[in-house]
Amino acid sequence: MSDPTSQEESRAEELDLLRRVAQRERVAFEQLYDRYSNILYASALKFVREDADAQDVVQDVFIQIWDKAKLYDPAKGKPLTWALTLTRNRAIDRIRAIQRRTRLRDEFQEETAMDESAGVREALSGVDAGEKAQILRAAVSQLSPQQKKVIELAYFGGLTQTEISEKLGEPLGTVKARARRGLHKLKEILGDQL
Amino acid sequence: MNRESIEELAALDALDALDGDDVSAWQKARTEDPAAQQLRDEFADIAARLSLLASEVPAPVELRARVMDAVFGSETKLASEMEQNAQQSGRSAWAAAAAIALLALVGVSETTARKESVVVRDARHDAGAPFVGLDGYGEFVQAKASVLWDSGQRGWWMQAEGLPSLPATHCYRVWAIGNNAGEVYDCGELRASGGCGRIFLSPDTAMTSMRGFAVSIEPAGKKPQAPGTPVVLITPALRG
Repeated sequence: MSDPTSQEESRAEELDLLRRVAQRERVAFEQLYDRYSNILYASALKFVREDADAQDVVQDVFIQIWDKAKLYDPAKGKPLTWALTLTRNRAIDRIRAIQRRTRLRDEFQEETAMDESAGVREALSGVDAGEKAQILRAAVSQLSPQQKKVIELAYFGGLTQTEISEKLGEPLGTVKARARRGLHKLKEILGDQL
Repeated sequence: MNRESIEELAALDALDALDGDDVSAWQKARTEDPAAQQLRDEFADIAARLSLLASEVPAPVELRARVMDAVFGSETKLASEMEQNAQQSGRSAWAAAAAIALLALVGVSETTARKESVVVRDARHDAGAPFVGLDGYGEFVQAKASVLWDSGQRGWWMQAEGLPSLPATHCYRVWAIGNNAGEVYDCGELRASGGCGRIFLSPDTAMTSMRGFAVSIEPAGKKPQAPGTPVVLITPALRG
């Protein structure tokens, strides 16, 4: 079963680590690296596909964490999602530079197509680290194909709303509405999970 | 602008997909409506979680050293150089250093004291280790500590554990040992609780080189001029 206490403790530990990193404690930085490196590397690899590129991204992200930990605002999200956002942004920069967007979209479609038969509530019955991806896939599977497409093109493809509109041949207003509804639905489903 | 439009802009900004006139429209909306910014942050948090779709792939082992070198590179290199210097100098054991300290504390030379460019690092006993370690000394084998250079604050952080409880009459005191004979500097009291203690160490302005650190037990409420006995922790390079 989901253990909110454990999640809170984990978040508190991560907040404390980031606070200490902001105070330039190397030990805390190393602990944060040990805690986040696998998920950030996996995330980076999903975007950039190549090990060497993913390593470059992760290195840049940890340099950013070291330099910008003091700017982290807990009100704006969990430490892990902050680090994931840094990773995504850095990875997208790299993708834009090397023009590799199409393969990402294919990958996203393959992954979100998996396990769609599993209900969200069933998936949420446990939130161990290994199940996070399953929970997300189940949540994403609740989106309409059109909503999923817009979010996919924006988040993983790095396309702007105008580019998405042109790509799909849909009016800009439709793209905006799908992005809003899609994120609203994910927010409702996921809540404070993960 | 109605609520729906604001939410659309918040969603697109969270996805990093805004462009055109909507960028300035969003800037205006988020300034005028704090709730819009909050919604955007919540959307961004949700969007970031999409990254967790990635299957778990362990980061390559060598990446850790690469990241640490990228962040702490210059300090690591300098520490290694100091370690080499310390090894080449073939300095005497800690016992001798402490004994010399008792005699020569007065004797930090004026030349040394006047040096303005103070570059000091601990001598690492193992260049492959992530940080400098201090080992328990004598009967205090369970004690250990790490000392890390903090370039931002220009000083060291010492974190110790496995320290035995002391009566109120005594305390732990940290010493920095320089390369030159008699270079022993009092770095202050290490307050311990539950066997653990942490202290920030500022370089003495007279200190120009560094061989390592030691922690000793001293009478409480006094400021000793040199480390007494027993010594609890010591940089391995200083061990006899």
